[in-house]
Amino acid sequence: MRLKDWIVTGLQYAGAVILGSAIYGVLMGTSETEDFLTMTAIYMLLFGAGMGMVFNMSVYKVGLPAAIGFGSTRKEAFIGMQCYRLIFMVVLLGAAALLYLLSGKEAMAELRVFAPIGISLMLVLNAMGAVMGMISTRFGKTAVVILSVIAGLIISAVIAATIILLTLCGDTLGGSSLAIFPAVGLVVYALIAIPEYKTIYKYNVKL
Amino acid sequence: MSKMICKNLTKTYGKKTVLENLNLTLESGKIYGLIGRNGAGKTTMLSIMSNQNPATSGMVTLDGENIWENRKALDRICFSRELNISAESGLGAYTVKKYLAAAACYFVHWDKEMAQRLMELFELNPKTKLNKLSKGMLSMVTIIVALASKAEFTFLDEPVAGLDVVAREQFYKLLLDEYTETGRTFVISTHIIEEAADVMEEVIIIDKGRIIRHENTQELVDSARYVSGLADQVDGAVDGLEQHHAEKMGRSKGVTVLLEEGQDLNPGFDVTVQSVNLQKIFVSLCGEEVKS
Repeated sequence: MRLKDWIVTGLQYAGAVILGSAIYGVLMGTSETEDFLTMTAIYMLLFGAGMGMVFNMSVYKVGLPAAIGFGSTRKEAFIGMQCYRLIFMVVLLGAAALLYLLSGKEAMAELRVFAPIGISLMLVLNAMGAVMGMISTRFGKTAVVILSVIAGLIISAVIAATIILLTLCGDTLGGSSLAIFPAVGLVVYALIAIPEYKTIYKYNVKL
Repeated sequence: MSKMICKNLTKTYGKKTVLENLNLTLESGKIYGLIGRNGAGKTTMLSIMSNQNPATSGMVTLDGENIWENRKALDRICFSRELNISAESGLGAYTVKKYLAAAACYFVHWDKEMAQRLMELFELNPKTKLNKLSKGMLSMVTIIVALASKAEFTFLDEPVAGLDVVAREQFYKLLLDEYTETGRTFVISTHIIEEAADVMEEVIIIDKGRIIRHENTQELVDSARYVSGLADQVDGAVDGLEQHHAEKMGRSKGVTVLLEEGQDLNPGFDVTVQSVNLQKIFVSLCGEEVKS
């Protein structure tokens, strides 16, 4: 298995989001350390979900042709892509959890709500990114402009829906009802993985 | 001796057929030249032979094993593509160093020292992004990938495109040194035919998706003659022989003929006979006006 490049990519992209979130947290000027940590963690999850989608499109443009062009099998490239996403999500969720942990016990209670929603957001938006990657692979340049607009709308809609949901039922959500978020995310992701494998299997390298 | 065999390869994109029932055998330890006009199917053929593109039908085997999705076979193959960094291409954001580091992750026999040495030889700045490199410098990057991959079967697509004369000479020398040292098999697709002719042991000529010639380079050149003179004299001299690219000017005529072993021009005709170089043979074979 040739997975090293995918793993490095996942770590680099996650690092970029962590750095961006920290800078944004500083710029937002939260004075309290605890607020800064929790806000940065939330930005991390939100940016991670949004950027994960954008990164996925770039993976189709760069990572995939490079991998197959350098002699990777398509099966390896598909597995590598899943590895990249897993690492990206795990690192961001881990970093967000760590920040919550450092914020104290009260914040940890918030994490129990945000973590499942964050996982769900990332899975769904990564899956959407994969769909857009597949579309841009098939339809090329013209699709890119249209996709950018669609991507913006999807990110905004999903994040807005999440915020509305949290505002309306944030207090009542808990335990098993929260587990539905990652479950839905996982189903969406798994459903997208099937056409994704088929797309990669027929992929023609163009550099 | 290892053999890579293409059996009845066909590739279509929609209604367009790019390769049609192509058959080819490559033996290990040779340098092959692949020549053809733009759009003849060279890159598509090499892409299929390296698992980069799927064939519509037919298959490629290496020592009897289908190479499609075959890890063991792919470890022995490298196809270093011509890099066309457009605004749309995401690869432009890669630095030379990052691109080579990515290549190192995939090629099992990657020679890091060689890559470093070639980068210094070509005076490439590792921190420069690919979209800031000239056409010639991008060719240098593809040459580094091809040579440092150390793959047993290495394909280079237009490796000298954009290179100046000095760099081209450097490339041919590097290629021959590597070939002498390792006995690797190289397939080089190029438009600069005469320069490359000296290093090609065998030449493969592809036209409109079909291989129209695959021969020892020297034997092909030795078999070719350009016959010119008065049209009736030329017609008599070449009657019954394989003729290509006849050109008529008034009462005069010129034609390229390819002689088979033991064949010669018909005697008793007043014609001028000249030897023909590989480039002219290629033009004769792939030019529009063909008569046989």
